[in-house]
Amino acid sequence: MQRTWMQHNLRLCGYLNKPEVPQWDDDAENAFQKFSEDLKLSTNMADIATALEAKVQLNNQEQKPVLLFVFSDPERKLPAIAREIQTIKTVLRNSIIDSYNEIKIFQNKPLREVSDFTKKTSSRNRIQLFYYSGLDTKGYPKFTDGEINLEIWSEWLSFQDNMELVVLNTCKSSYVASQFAQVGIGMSIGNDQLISDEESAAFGSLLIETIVKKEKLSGLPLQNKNI
Amino acid sequence: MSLGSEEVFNEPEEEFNESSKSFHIFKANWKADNILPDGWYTERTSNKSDFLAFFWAPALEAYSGYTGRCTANASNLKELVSTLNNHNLKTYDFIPLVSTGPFTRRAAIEQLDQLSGLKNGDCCLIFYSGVGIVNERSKQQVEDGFIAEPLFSEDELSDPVTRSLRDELREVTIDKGIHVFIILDFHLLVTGEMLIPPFANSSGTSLVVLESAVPVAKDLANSPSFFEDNFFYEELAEIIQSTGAKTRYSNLASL
Repeated sequence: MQRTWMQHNLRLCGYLNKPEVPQWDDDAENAFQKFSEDLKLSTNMADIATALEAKVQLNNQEQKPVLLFVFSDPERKLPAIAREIQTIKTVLRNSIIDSYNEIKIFQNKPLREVSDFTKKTSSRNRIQLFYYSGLDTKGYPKFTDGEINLEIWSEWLSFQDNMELVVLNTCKSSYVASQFAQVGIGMSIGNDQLISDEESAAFGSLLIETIVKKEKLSGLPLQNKNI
Repeated sequence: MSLGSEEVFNEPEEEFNESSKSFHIFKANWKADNILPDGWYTERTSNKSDFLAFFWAPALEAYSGYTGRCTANASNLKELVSTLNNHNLKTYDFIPLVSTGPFTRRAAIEQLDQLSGLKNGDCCLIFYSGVGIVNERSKQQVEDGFIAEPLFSEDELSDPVTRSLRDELREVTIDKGIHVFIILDFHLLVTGEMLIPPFANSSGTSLVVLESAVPVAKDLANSPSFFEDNFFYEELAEIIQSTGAKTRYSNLASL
């Protein structure tokens, strides 16, 4: 069994808090020992690997998916975003999606807070939808303390294996969205134009209504692009 | 107006080409279709075991000046176990119920009905803090291991109790593989009419009873020192805090 695979799954289960390293270091060993103790298993590598795989699957079955919504307009330059947030909240609150999933909304919070949530133990491997609306820097989601670039995104993915859909509801985000879809995301949505916040709000609301109704995304005004 | 870039705020709207304004969806090559995950529309049933916990501290009129400590013990233990539930008890769904103030035996027994919904492997904790009642027979043998019965009201001192909590527990837990742990934080024992068997001699159920050892007092209403002593609870809380859910019964029994 590959050591990196073992470290990755120990991390998804909350036993390891850092990216995997090629060698088997003390942190990995401690996480390995703790996992075997908790499950009252021997330290046989094959047994642990089987148990670890089962644990990840069990967590997927038992834990509610997290649908993460992030809105960033700290300078209040996007008047329509408040309506977008309200509409999305209302649509979600009146749906089974709200009961069957954990809905987490960050509004004008620093990137650090979003990042901490994405990596913390109780969120591990649960985020399945990442929705961003707000300001951008060349298509990358923009915050007061940085932007979600590929480096940060890759770090987040070390803690998330079940990312189904990423929505970058911001200007000229197609390129970034296409990059995200190449690094382990099932689907990503972006826009290659400059759009008004009114249009952005309308699209976001329509998208969430479509999701709530469990309709195919192909019913939306979207151009399909295969990666 | 642009959503993302400040500098395009002033761009005239006519510069936008309506036909080209569209969102793109990028699909990973392993993704079969633009279908959303079924899991988002599926209610998850937890496979966790239930951990039902009752924290009882009934207020008795005759000892009303002293039962504040019992109420605090019940509330504090609930908080302590809640904390553990975020750590080494996290594999359980913790369902606490705290009952303080005037609280009858009937109300307690009705709460025990909830055990009928438990399944094999589930757990139940019953924590009682207050006064215990023994009859003349058990009074003679307290030191040999008889376990007193919680006293829910002064009326039980004269009106014989015919069914113990143990009897009620037996009905709802028998042969179901439920683990029941009872902690009796007695601060004093009184003598009353009882037609019930002692708590001990359990069979058919995984039952552990931990009882504080306090003497039977003759005139208890005038024995406040028993209430002032909170040794049993404080030791219990300290052991739980230091060892969490991995506390061995032998450690508790050595209190």
